[in-house]
Amino acid sequence: MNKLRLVFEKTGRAKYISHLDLMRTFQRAFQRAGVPIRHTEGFNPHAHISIALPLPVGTESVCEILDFESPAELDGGIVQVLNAALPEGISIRELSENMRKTGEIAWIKCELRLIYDGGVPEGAAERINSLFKSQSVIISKKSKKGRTDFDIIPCIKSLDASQNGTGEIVISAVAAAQNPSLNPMLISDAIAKYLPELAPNHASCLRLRLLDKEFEPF
Amino acid sequence: MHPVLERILPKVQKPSRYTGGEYGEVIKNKNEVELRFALCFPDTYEIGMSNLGVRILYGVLNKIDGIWCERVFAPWGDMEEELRRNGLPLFALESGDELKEFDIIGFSLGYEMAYTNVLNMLELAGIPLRASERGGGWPLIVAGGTCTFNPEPLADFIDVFLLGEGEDLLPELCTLARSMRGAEKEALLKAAAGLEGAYVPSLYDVEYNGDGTVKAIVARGGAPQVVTKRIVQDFENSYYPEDTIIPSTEIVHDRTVLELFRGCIRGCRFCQAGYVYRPVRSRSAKRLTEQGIEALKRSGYQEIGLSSLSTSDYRELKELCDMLLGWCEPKSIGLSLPSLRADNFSMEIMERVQKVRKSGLTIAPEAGSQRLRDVINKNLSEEEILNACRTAFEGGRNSMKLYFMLGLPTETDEDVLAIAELAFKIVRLWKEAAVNRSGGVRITLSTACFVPKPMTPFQWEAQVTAEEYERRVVLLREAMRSKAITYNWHDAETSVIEGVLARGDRRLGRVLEEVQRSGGRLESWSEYFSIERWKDAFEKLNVDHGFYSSRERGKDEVLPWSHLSAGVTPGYLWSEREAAMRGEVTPDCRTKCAGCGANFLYKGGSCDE
Repeated sequence: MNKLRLVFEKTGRAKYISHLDLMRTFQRAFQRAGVPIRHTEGFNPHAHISIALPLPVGTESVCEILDFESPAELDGGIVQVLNAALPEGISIRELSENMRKTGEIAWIKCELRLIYDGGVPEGAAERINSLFKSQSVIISKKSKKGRTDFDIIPCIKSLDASQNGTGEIVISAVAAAQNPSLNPMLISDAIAKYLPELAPNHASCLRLRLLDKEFEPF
Repeated sequence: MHPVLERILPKVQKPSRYTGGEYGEVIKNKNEVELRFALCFPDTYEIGMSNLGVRILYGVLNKIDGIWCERVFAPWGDMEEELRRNGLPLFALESGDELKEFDIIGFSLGYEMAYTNVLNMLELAGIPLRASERGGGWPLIVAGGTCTFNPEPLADFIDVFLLGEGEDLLPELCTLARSMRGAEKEALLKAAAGLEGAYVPSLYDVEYNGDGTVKAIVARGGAPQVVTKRIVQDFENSYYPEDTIIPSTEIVHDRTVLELFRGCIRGCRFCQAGYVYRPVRSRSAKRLTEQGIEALKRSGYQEIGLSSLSTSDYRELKELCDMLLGWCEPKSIGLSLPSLRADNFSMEIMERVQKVRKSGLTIAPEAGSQRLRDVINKNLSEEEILNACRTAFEGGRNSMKLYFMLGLPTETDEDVLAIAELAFKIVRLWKEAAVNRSGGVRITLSTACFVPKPMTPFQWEAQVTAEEYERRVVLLREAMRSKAITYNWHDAETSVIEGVLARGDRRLGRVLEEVQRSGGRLESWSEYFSIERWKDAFEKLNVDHGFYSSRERGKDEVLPWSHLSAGVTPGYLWSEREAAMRGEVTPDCRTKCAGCGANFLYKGGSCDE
């Protein structure tokens, strides 16, 4: 079996597809494209694929990673074949040469957009930047055991908010990828909690790049 | 995507069912098409996308140049609330455009409990519910599906009902609408009534007797006095959706489905589908295998299911399974066979197909005693049931599901108790036949309340009341003698409403309106169904629901659907009713033609060949 890695993006309407549904979508896309892939054993054999760092529903990404094994020698030609078999918004960027362990992904560079229907409040960017220079920013996070308090500051390596036009704040952040991970949408929740007058009408998030623990591209 | 939708979706459950954009979705340029059709399914995305009929019609319409067919499903409660709060009208998944922008809106009616959803979806679209309040500027609202064999409760809301199979009739209606663009609605309706199988309810006047029964139904404006359903004449070569939408989120039947045949040779007297889908027309195993392989290749599905009303009756079943397995097995693609009869032949096939997975087995004897099984013409003997169980137990299965109905015509307490007796016999049989007894056996027994349906031999019968059904449930529950048996019973309240709507007349339109207005929708879901809402509406409008459900009709009563025909003659239905009362069985159509009349619809061939 040859181990292979694909880098793909999930944008637009496809951002609402859940992780489990995305796995199924890829399994079928491999079948449709006729790309040979290792199957799981057991009662219900299915194409074996692994997608690192599940993307939260509603978040877009241009740097997702999918690992699979194939009995065939495959080349970059499968990118086009697979893309023709995928739904709108999910698109393979490349067959990656990089086979480092996904456990080495430590940080994610992402971009958060906060939308203000009535225009961005005066001084919003500065106040957001200074909030995240605090010692701790505690938010309540849903976990399997109910709600727990969670300090997000250790999970944010850097954060820079700036105003974009009259109605939007753009936040560039580098957030922890795993152990524990930070869903960047929680940055918007933290703003709504600590700076309620700066709570946006709508927020969206985009994953831009995966980084290792040295902050080098993964 | 609509910017408001963008804000709503993060707040609702399973947002991807509202986005469209799946693999296989058909996108056309709306400025280049002549007719836009919104195919509406009055239930959730997961249910609607599992419906083969929806996929067939979607494919048939989109194959036609100049027509763009899009999909619309009922939103779940949380989504509906967000749509209403944000003033966003119901939209089609492909374009995101609201329903008002469409030329024709077509509903698929498979279940009476979806009626309030039809009204609710129209309201969510901002379209007046009543046909009389929609002039020429509004979309034409049409409906098809099993329920259209008595669509009278919806007569005030729908412009045209399409009876029978829609593959030919729906495109004909669209062609007519295209050619009459700009014409008065009245003229379009009159022309539509000329299409074979199209029923325009506003062209029929219903008169009532003093006792509330129908006196007469009179056609006006050249509409036919009896509207007869349409069938596909050449089923072998008719359209099958090899290329279809593959949802990006899990649906109820998430697999490729092959349609073996339409109609059913069995003639179970309670079964509406068995009568209204006659005559029997099959596809060859060779064609089905080609379609199955092509559909699997194009979809990437890892499972294929065979669909029909009675899979065991497909003449080439063994050959079909062999051909499909030959292709599927090496690729680890599973084959599933629902609706098998509990006979030896079927059990052999099932063992062959399910070599890997020993899933549970379901048998539907429907009635506990042989006498009552003969009344309903369920040609299944106790010996056959027990043999099927023995084969299953000897094959290593240790669980079994059994389906029954309570409230079948002529049912006595003895018949009810016979259900418990049969279940107990199956437990004893397991003790004899089981390969491994360490885990015990699990028998799950379910009962539903029988609902008499139009166009069946039981269309004249009284439905048992909810109280009587519950009494029989208690009787049965207390007669259960083994801990290995789990008894589940469906509630009777939904069945009462289903029964009222199934055999109702036009006067129920006001009730539907009232129930929808007071919040009724998604009523096939127990979390949304409320009997109180219905009771309040009946009381407010002074409607006696027992008149529709628990009243026996006389032979000569004009039934509200007597101007509609599925091809089977009312005389035949009555003779079957009489046979039922005498406890006489009627052989299946393959053994002997009983002369039901449906064969006259089949101009190109003879039934079941």
